[in-house]
Amino acid sequence: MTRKYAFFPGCVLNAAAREAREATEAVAAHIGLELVEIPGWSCCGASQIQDIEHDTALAANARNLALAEKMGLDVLTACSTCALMLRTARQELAAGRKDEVNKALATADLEYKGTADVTHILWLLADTVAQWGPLVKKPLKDVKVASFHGCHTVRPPTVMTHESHLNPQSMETIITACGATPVHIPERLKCCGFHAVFPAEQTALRLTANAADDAKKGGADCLLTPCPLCQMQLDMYQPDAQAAVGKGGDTPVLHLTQLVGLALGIGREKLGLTRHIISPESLLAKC
Amino acid sequence: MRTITFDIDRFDGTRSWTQSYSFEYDPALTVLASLILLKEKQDPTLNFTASCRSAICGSCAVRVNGNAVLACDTRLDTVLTQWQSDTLRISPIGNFHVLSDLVVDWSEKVERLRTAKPGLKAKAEFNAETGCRQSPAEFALIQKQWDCILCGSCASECNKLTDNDRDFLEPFVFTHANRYAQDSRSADGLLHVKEMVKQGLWKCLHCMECVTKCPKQIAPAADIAAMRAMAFAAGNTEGKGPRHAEAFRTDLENSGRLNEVRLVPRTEGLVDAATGRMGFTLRMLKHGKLSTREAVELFVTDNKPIEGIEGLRKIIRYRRDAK
Amino acid sequence: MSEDNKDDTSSLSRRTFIGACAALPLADTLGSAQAAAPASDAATGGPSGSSGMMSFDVLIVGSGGSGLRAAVYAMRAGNLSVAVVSKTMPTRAATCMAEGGINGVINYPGQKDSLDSHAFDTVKGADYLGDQDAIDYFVEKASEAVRETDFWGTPYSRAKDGRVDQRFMAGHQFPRTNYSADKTGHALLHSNFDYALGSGVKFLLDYQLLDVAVDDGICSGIVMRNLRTGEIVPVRARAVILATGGYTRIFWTRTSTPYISTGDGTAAALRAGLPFKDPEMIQFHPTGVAHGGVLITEAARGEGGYLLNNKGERFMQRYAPGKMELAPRDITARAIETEIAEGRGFGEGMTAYVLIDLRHLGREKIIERLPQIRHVGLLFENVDLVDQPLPIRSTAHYSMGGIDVRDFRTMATAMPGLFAAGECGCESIHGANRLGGNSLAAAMVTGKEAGIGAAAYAAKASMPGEGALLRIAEQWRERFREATGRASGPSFVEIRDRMAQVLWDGMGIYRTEKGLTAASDALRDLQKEYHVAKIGNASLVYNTAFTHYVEVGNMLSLARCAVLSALNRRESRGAHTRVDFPQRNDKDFLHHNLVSLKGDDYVLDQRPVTIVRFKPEERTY
Repeated sequence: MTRKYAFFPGCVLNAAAREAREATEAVAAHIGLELVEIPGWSCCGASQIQDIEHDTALAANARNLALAEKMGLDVLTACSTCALMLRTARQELAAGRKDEVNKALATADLEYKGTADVTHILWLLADTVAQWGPLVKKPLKDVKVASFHGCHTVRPPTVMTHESHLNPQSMETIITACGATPVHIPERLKCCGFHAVFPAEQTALRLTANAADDAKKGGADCLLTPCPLCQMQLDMYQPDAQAAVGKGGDTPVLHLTQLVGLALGIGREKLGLTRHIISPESLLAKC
Repeated sequence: MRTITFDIDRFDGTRSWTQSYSFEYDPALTVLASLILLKEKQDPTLNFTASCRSAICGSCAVRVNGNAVLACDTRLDTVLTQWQSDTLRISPIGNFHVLSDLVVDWSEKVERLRTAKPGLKAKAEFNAETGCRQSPAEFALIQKQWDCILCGSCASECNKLTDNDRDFLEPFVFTHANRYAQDSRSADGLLHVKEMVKQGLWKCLHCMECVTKCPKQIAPAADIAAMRAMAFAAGNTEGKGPRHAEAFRTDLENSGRLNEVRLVPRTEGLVDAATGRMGFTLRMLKHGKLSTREAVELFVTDNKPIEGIEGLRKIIRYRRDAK
Repeated sequence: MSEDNKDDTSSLSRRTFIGACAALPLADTLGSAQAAAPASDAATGGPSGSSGMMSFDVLIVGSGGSGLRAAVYAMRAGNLSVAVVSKTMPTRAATCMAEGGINGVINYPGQKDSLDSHAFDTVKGADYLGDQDAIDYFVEKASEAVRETDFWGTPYSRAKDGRVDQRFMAGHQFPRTNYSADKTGHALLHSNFDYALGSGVKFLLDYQLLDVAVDDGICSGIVMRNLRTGEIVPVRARAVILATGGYTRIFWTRTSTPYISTGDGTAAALRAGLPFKDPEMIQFHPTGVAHGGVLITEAARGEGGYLLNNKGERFMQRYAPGKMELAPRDITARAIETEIAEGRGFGEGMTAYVLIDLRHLGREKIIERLPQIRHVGLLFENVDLVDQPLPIRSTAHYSMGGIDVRDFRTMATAMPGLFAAGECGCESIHGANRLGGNSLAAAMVTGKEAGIGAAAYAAKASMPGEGALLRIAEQWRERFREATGRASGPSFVEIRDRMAQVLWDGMGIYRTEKGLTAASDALRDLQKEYHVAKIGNASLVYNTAFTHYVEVGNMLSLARCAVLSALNRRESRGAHTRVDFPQRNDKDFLHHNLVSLKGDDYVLDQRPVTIVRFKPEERTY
């Protein structure tokens, strides 16, 4: 398959969760997906700017979308919050804010038309299993994977329309295509706590510990998430969560593309698997 | 005959158990009609509440397979299709104390509603004898928030409340506060906002369950955001929440992208960050998440500005001036 | 204080280190969201007296529009302990279902409306059975209520110049129905609830009214059941306001009103010795879904929907060839029943119906203009109006009758200390037929007047005795034990459904001597069965089966009053249509019917209607 997308990495994929970016790009290259980074993309607001200066975030995202439109491509991101922010902005612009925002964009010689769709690598991979499935070289037949969907790929369902928000199956489809066994955990549609890690730190740590512990109890070798923010929260803060709550602490956390990369036979360095806080060694031993 | 099974979570004041009920499939049933059928034909001890059966009184919210719905407004077929199963688990809505079976305690929620300082405190130019003036556009700003029927669905799966409800409120309380905060007739909209800041306004996790579950398509998360913006604009910028958000905004204007190294000290203050986050920082460096050189560079000189940063700044400034 | 609070407060205590300035002390009281004392000490009733019985100065039963408004005004009197008792969470009441609006003449510049005109329309709409002094008072206070609720926060739809917008409703000469989109009742109910919360009104939720107690001819309080614990609780009160809503649920399977509209207060007042005024006056709406009676609003016909019989004919041709489907409610309701009675409907018995057809309006118009109606069709009949016509039939909609109120300025009844407000009271504004938009206005007006009236009375009255309260409470404890202990007996749910059928057949849209007599006999038998019916649930904790059993008992009693009254009103007036007496008869029946309970007997009395300046004339539109 050859498809071309305007790639919106987002700030976290670009920095603290760089391994997710490396994995996304490696997988894309491997399965014939062409990702062209949007030149000059900016922060999506991460739901933070939206909360103090809504229109600033809306304008920034209109600019991001306008840049993609100039490339004549749909937007692809590997971050759930970026996907939600961009899609929410699209919806809002379509619902009557387009003209006024375009006046702002005009100051930078840009125009938002509304032609570029925004998709998530999760949805793309789930929808194209038939194409890339045959490329799986190393089926992960001994690996049990707990999917942690998180919030922003499914909620709110009026914006995230790809699949049922109650019973989404895209993660399971992909895990199965990788030859691994999906483990259903009660926490799979819960919040990781990332967006309130500072103002509600104890809550965030407990949510992190719950997810890690849940996966462990379910016999999973790792948690798998389609979102670098969830990945960062669950991985980087897991030791703090363990210290605060007394559970979790040794559950590896992978970005979706890292697991797919392993199944496709891509090297672990190329997938950034050497830089995790919670060592994925026990998992890698089974791959 | 197609048989539907409801596994109902029951509670009689002391004992909790799950009871299975079966009944004949009928496409004309709603979830509420199914419950009434069970109570009246099978088990008079089954308790739930319902009143208008037209989705406007808010009495009959229950959880189907863990997710809140208005029982009267939900066709049985809809949930059977959603879950691809003829067996459904019916439970009381979450984040409420259960009185019996599907009946929950509203009295404590009524008291929490009072923290929103409900009831209009109108501007001095208005009085009870002649009423108020408000433009259709100003009415439109508060109309959606007034659709709240106090069914509790928004609170049921709220991730923050489930973890800890002592430093946060039900999303509908925030919506109530915001409908006065945004009302052009209010003498002081900030009155309601300030109360909500005290009650955890900045602790929302953005899990979006409230927005997803509201049967009236209200977005309590947007109400929380609107009040955060009001508080921030009024100069209430202290605390980790507003400082965190402000750090994002600063980065957007400075370089176009987030500077993660500066984010923590900006949110928590340099001293706190340096003392409290030392272990975390060392961990990042040790595992190669970040090199020491990168970290120092980012902290001292910031991100390299994005291509077209001047354009982005123009856009932001234009938007701000337009306000 | 929780862990998270410690986090945040400690971070704020370190402000100096981060050089913050101008910090507002916003986070200082984090965690105070817990249920605090709901109101000032003065407003918190509690145990008093030697027996420790709960006591209040003003006790309001019912938390719909009128109850909430009464509570605010009772609080405003100052220094009185006030509480609202409700069998549900407030805001579950029928008030929330009202859509169209609230009438009130505002007389904006350029308008020609007047209080006189609103009064006349109300009198005429009532088919001259309304008391004209009460109506004059009502229209003046209704106008005030619209402006006041605007000031309290009711979100009214607005005209371009910022004033409250008004719409036309049937039966009015001017647009005087103030509204909030299509949810006016909901908006009024919730804004009154908010205002009551802000005023510090105390709420006692999950308490069912069982009886009103009378000591020496004076109301001494109520006996209620704590649904959470099963405890039977006597409560003393200097003044009691009943605001318990209507009794249209007597038509259980054919009414648009909520499950809780079972006339509990009216039945309790009846047992306490007060008359039930004009109980036969029940308004029917022509279009409710066939299963259960939820309203299909006038918008469906307003947008051009057809009413069809089993021959596919637009049968309104026979009854109102000029207006067709846009004919007034009562004419349309009678037309539908005639079609069914003459074999041109579908199905039979309680579930017989005719069809409303919107298909010719086209998919887009249905989806855009009538989404709520389409939704109701899908929910209750599994019918998509885009593709199929929907089964509908008339449905009981509003109780014009109610507890006999003797003073429309205070909503006082004949019993000192007992007041009635809203749909449960009858003062009488609506007479034999209520005009659209007058129900919300009446709830707002009578609630306020009752709150003021009861507070003024309570300020002077002494705390009544406990004797009757204790005695009635003991009777109810025994009744609970006895009734829930029955091992066998007829199903009270079936008794309820048979009552609905009996009333629909005998006291529905068309009434005859023969039908009403049969209904009367059948009700007597049902009452006998009721007393030995099986409940099947003896739990003390939230026993909704017993709650409903009590409601069914109340409804049977109220139904008997209505049938007795309907039998004796040998004329047709407003909502009361006697096939055997098709004309209005002012000579013999320009009076209110008053039914009282003497022992086990239902006794009928009359009182003339108060005519002030509108002489009865034929009601034509």
